Order: sequence, then structure tokens, then C-alpha cells
Amino acid sequence: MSADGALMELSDVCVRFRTRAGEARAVDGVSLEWRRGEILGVVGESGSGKSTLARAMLRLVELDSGEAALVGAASGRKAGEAELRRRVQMIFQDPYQTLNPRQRVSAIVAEPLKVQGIPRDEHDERVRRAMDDVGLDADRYLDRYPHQLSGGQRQRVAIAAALVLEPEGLICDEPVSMLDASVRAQILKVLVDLQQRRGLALMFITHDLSLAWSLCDRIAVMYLGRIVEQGSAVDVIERPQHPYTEALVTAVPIPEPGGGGRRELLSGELPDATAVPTGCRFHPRCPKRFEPCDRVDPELIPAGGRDQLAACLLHDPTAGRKEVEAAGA
Amino acid sequence: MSALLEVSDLRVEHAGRAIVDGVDLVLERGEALGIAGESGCGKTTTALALMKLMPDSLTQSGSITLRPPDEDEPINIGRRTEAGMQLVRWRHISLIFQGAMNSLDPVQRVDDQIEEAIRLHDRKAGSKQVRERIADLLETVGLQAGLGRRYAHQLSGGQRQRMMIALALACGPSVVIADEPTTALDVVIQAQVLQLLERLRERLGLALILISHDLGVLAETCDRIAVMYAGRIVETGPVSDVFANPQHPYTKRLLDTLPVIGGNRGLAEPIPGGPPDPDDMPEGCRFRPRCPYAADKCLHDPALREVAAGHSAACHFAPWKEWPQVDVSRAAATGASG
Amino acid sequence: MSDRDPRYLLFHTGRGRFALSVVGLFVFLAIFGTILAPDDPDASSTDIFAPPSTSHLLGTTENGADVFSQLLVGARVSIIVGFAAAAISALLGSAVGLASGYFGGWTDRILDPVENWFLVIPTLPLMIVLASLLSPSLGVLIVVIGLTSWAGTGRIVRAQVLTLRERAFVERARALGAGHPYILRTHIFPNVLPLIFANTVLIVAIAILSEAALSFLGLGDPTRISWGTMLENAFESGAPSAEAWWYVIPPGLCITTLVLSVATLGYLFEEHINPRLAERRETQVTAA
Repeated sequence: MSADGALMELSDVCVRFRTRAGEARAVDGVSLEWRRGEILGVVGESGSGKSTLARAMLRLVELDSGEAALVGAASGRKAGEAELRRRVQMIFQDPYQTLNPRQRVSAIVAEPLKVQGIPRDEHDERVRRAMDDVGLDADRYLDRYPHQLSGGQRQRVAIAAALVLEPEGLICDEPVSMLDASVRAQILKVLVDLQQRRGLALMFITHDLSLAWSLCDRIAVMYLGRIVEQGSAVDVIERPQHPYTEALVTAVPIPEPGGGGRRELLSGELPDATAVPTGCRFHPRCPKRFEPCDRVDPELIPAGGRDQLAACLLHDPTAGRKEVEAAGA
Repeated sequence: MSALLEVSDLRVEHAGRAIVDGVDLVLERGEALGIAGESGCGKTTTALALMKLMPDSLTQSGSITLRPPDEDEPINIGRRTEAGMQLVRWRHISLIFQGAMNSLDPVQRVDDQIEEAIRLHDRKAGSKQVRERIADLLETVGLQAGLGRRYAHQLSGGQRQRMMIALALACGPSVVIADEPTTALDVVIQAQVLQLLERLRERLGLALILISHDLGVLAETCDRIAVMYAGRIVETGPVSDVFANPQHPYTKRLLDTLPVIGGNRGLAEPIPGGPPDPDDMPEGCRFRPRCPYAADKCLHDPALREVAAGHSAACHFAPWKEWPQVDVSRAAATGASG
Repeated sequence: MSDRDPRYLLFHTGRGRFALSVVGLFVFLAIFGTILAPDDPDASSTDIFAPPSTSHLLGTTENGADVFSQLLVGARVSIIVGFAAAAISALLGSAVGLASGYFGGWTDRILDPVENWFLVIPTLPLMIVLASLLSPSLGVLIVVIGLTSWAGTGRIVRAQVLTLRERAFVERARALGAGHPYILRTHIFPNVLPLIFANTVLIVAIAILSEAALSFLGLGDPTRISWGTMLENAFESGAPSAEAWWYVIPPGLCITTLVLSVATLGYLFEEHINPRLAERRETQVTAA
């Protein structure tokens, strides 16, 4: 159900943090297109940089280089930022931290309207519509405080608050990982229904591949600050073109008798963002590494299905990444 | 031969409310039993009750009998006092706590913590003997010997989890309870840890009780599974049977709504509502308000009974040969939004 | 109602009822003490160090003044100084804590050492020095006590603000483009307020004690009667050796009881707010 064109375009986004252990390259050159009306999954383990990427898109953290632009936005930094904040909203992971415990639901859902200066007389109607969209009875819930709500209900309130400005895109950072299985399905249904009804673009940040499989149109797989593979969900998961994706997919336990069995387990753990390996950053753990992998940093090139890209020298040993800045990092 | 662990009518109450409401379990030697359920169903409380680690505000009743292979007499955990339990815990049955990665003492080196556990149960152990045992344990869980001298914060998440497993094995128990051992671990590390648990079972003949909300993890590791809901077991049986042919609506609906990688894409209709409030338990079958197959009969509480070989369910209409086509979004009670 | 409901804690526990009654009584006395006192507390007579009798419920002082009247009137100073000093402390502490916690950076780098200085300085000696340098009056006393106790509040507030700053609901507000004043007003401040309140109540207790101590040392307002000045006069005039227990024990007992009751209220309030800071979670990663 995608309309045409991109909502946001990310070009070579870099976000780095100063830590005691050195410079952490949390996001290290990510280029991605988030298309209108699509459900895009950004998948990776903790430490892959996916959450930082989401925050960078909304300017919650500063980009060190590169661009995360809203297509068709006003030019000029201030105006552009204001427009971004209206047209793209975010849902956070922890329903117990996402609402101010001292505010009633009505105030929480109306807050975006207040901050963005929407006239008072419009508030009531828009709040009610948003509550309706998330399946919460306005009369029952508007006066409540967060501690009177369950996890699922809190997340619904957060979604309502995100909807009230009628955004075009919703970034969801692990929106259901802290919810029970039965409640998860409910919240996901709310999000997907909204996407269909309003033609919203959804970006799902998750470590749960099963979720990405069942929901997303396209998937981008992140490893240590880079996208190592992207393409349609079916292509990426059924025919992964990068060894990391393959390892991730086979590692997922399946709730079926026997559980799946097949396994090529990766050794070791994700390195720290302050100590990114040379060449291909995955090479120390890669079961398929060969000669150039510790020297050449692979570029994302077409591999596999239509629209599928992978950053692996197995497809073309010469496809090294052109470093934008000389030593830079 | 009698079972390794037999639990009968386990109840745990808090201020008159039952958190665990009559649970029966049987664990054979070397078997892996999975306990599945969502938050509030009582699975962690059950684990703590098996070790009699309940805080004073909770009262526990019911019989728990452990028959370790290296003891002549069975151990009646239900009747043991705190002093008596100190001889049993860790030596015969140990527990890997939820959030175990944060349960290591931050100011002690990890091998010292393992040593402490060993010495609590074997005061006469020589230091050489202890050091050898620790090295052996680390090797068993796949950690380099040198890592023992580190502090908890110097280990990665996966390493800490392995350390917790080593700690749980320190005194050679015959039963290990693992409470959400892979939650908060990345999928690759999770796979490594599960593989480790499997190898340990084979190599040491360990019996495992694995508690998890993640049905995939349980399907992969366990021989049998018990599904808990609102303090009770609603279905139990061999893993292959329960997953292929669920006999309780809760299990069935849960399996329906679980996204399975490589399986159907798109969302199934979710289970409406949420787990019941212990103060306001529904009349009759506790799942009734959310059950699309409920009928008047369900106002009577169904007992857990055998509906196929080794496979039991607490549902009046089990055994289910096939599941009727109903509108699963409309459960017995209306309007519940979770 | 739950175990943490303030109404339960205040009205349905033994501690709550006791503390509330005592504080209520003394506040009442602070307001009406001068009217209720049977005699003029300053009125001297020839009946010195007289033991309790029907005309003098708690006997008389070294000047023959009525101890009971002095006690009733003295409540006012303790309560006023207690609450006023605590208010100054709360205001100063909150402002500094909010600023350094929220803005960090240079604000924190400047304010933090200042706060540390006030935290580390031994309060009683500092109070004594300040009080003896400035001409003694209630106002000076209030300011001095306030200045020496704000740093504790500041520390606690700063720590709480640091965690709040990272919470998702603050991030959400920032993602909307909300400015600092809005975030401080709507999200940060209301969530630190309970903490400030709990802490301030405890400071009231400290302030009352400090006033008593300073007055006892002769640094209080000489024109006003307070329990501390009563104790000072009592000791200075040799009441202990005159075995005038009715002069020495009552003011001490009043100070102790009031301070304990205020402190109890403070702890009860903490009981109310603390579990909220570590809310029981319903997600799958919890017990049961």
C-alpha cells in the first residue's frame, strides 16, 4: 500500500559520541530512503545503532555529518525542523516511562497541539479523534492518570498523542517489546490499521525478526552503525545476501514443534562501537570471510532480489566504500 | 521409577489472593520442562516457591518432593524449614534468576562468588579442589578460565549469563530452574545460551525447568511444556503435541497471534482484553472473558484433565478435533481493550 | 485504599495520627498561644523557682514568670523559624538543583562546587559564626538556617532531574519542539515536587532543632521567648542545681516531640512517594 515517493531521505548519516573509552561511532554512514505509506523495518541487535538513527532523524541527537531530510520540507534550518516535528512523530519502547505520571491522559494527548500552537478550540475534537483511532473510549480514559492504565493502554495513549498532529510518518522504537504477547498483538494491530487507513509511513525499529517478517514491507539490517543489507522483507529473510542477516534469521527460535533446528551460530559478540573492526566491520565473526574482508570496507551494492542491497564482498570483492573524509573517524 | 521432582497442589497466596492457585508439576530426570505464560500468570512465583524463596508476606502450601539421584531419601521441600532448605538449595536444586545478568555481586570477582557457593555446601573442600572445580565449570559453560578473575562489569551480557549458569551448576544440582534466561539478550547470544543449556543437559544429565514468555525459546529447548494463565496450569503436554495440536483456547489463540519468521505474514486477530486482575477473577473459567469459543458451560471452572496421551488441558470442550470458525475478535466479555 | 495512599498513612496509622496531632497542636499554639497563656510570659514575680501548683501549672522561672505561659508562647518561634527556614532552603535548593540538573554543562560546573561547599561546611559552627556576626533577630536566624541547609535538597533534586531528563516523555516533548521553559514547567518540576516536599518536611525538623540550639547558645532573638531561650535561661540561672525540673524538662520535651512528629510526617511522605519511583511493572520481565 505504498504511495509513491520518499517521505524522508537519509544520506550518509553519522552520529558519534564521546565516551570514556573513546569515540563511539554509533551511526557510521547510513543512507536510507523511507517511502511514503510503507512499513519499513530497521532490524539489528542492541548496539547496532538503530535507536540512535531514529533519534537522529528527529533531531533528538545531533548528526555529526550527513543529512536526514524530510522530502519537500521548507528550507532553512528552523523552519525545516519545525515542519519535521509536525510531520513525523515517534513512539518509544517503554510504556511505563513514556507518559508523564503527573499528567492526565487528556493533557498528554493534547500536548503536541499545545506545543505546536494549534488553536485551543480545535483541541477537543482532535484529541477525541485520536483516542478513537487507538481504540480507547475517550469518556472513560481522558481523565485518568498513567498509573491507572495497563501497559497496553499506556502505549495506546502514546500513539494517540503521536497521531493528534496528523503526521505522515511514525517512527516506532521497539513499541511492543516490553508488552505481553497478547497485548503486543493488539498494539501492532492498532498501528497497522492506522497505517492502512491513513496511509502513514511506519518505521519499525526492532530486534525481533519475526515481527519484522510479519509486518514490514521492506527491511534494513543494521550492524555496528551501518546498514549491511536491505530489501523487501521476503527477500531479505528468505534469501539473505549478507552472512550476518543469515545468522540472525537462523538464530530465531520458532514456536513450532522441534523449533527449527538448523543453525550456524555466530561466535563472539557484537564489538563495542568504539572499536569498530577494520575493513568489513563484520569480518571477525563472519563464517564466510575471505582474503579482502579485513582490508576493504564493502559498499551496499545490488545483490539478490529486485531492490535488494547487501554490503558484502562476496558479491563483488572490489566494491569498497569510498571514504568521504580521509581519516575522519 | 519415581519422578525427580513432584509438585502437588502448590499454592502461593498474598493477603488472601492466590498468585499460584493449585499447580501440579512432574519433572523426570534429565527432562526439560517449559513453563509458559504472560506476566501475572504466576510462573516466576512458582519457581521461587520450588526453592522456598518466598518473601514473608506470601504464604505457600502444597507438597514439593525432590528425589535427587545422589540421595537415598526423598526431600520433602514442602515441609522443610528455612534451615533445612539451606542444605537443599544449590546442592540439589538451583535457580538462575530473571535479570540474572545483574545478579552478580559487583564488588566480588566472579570466581570468588562461585567459590563461595561451593564452600557453603562443602566446608571441607580443599582449595586446590575448589579451583579445579571452578575451572571445570567455566570450561563447561564455554568461558575461558581467565575470565573468572574479572568483575561482573568487565564481562559482556552473554558472558555474565554464562557465569550465572556456571554459578547455578556449582554444587552439582540435579535440577536447574532458569527464569527467563534469554530475555534481554540479543537473538544471536540467545541462541548460544540455549545451545549451551542443551549441551549441559546432555553432558550432565541435568533436568531443567525453563520459564519464558517466549514460546519459540520453549519449543526449541523443552521436552514438555506447561502453559500458565492466572495462577493455574491450563495446558500441559509434550512440546510437539502442544504446539502442533493445542487443546486449550488460550494456547491456541496465543499461537495464532505469534509472528513466526518464514510463516504467514500479516497480523492475526489479537486476543482481546488483558490478563485478569487477581482481585476480580472471572467466574468459572478464568479465560472465559477473552475466549472466542466460550459457552454457558464455561461459567463452571474446568479441571485440568488428560485429553490425549500425556497431554492435559483445562477446558470443557477439549479434546478439540478442530477449531470452529468463529469471530475471534469478539470474546465473551465485551469492550475490553488491553 | 492502598498502603501508600496519603490518606491512609496520615489518618489510619498510629504514627500518622500521632504525628499529625502533635504538629497540629503546636501549629495551633503558634497561632493562639499568646491568647491562651494564662499569664504574661514576661511578668516577673517574687515567687521564683516555684514548683508546679494550681496557679502556675508548670511552676515559675528564675524571675517568677509562669513557665506554662512561656511554653505556649514559645511555640510560635519554633514553628515560624522551622517553616520559614525550610521554605528558604527548599526554594534555593530546588532552583539550584533544577538548573544544574537540567542544563548541565557550565551551569552545573559552576553551581556544583558551590553546592558542595555548603554541603561540606559544618553547619552548626557556620550558623554560630554567622549568627554571632550579625545582630541577632528572628529574620537573621531564619536566613542563617536556610542558607546552611539548602545544599542537601539541591543534591537530591539534581539527581532526580538528571534521571527525569532522560525519560521518554521528556524526549517526546523535545521531539515536538518544546522549549526548555515548557519542559521544566510541565514535565520536570511536577515530578520533582514530591521529592522536594518530602525533603523539606525533614528540614523543618532540622530547622526547629537548629533554632533551639542557637537560642540555647545565646544567639537567638533576645526579645522573643522560644523553647531554646527558655533552656538557655534555665541553665544560666542554675535551674538544674535548684532542682527546678519543671523549667528544664518541658521545653526540651516540646522540642523533641515536635521534631520527632515532623520527621515522622516526612518519612510517611517518603513512603508515599518512594514506591512510585520504582513502580511495579506489568511486563513479562517481572515476578509472577
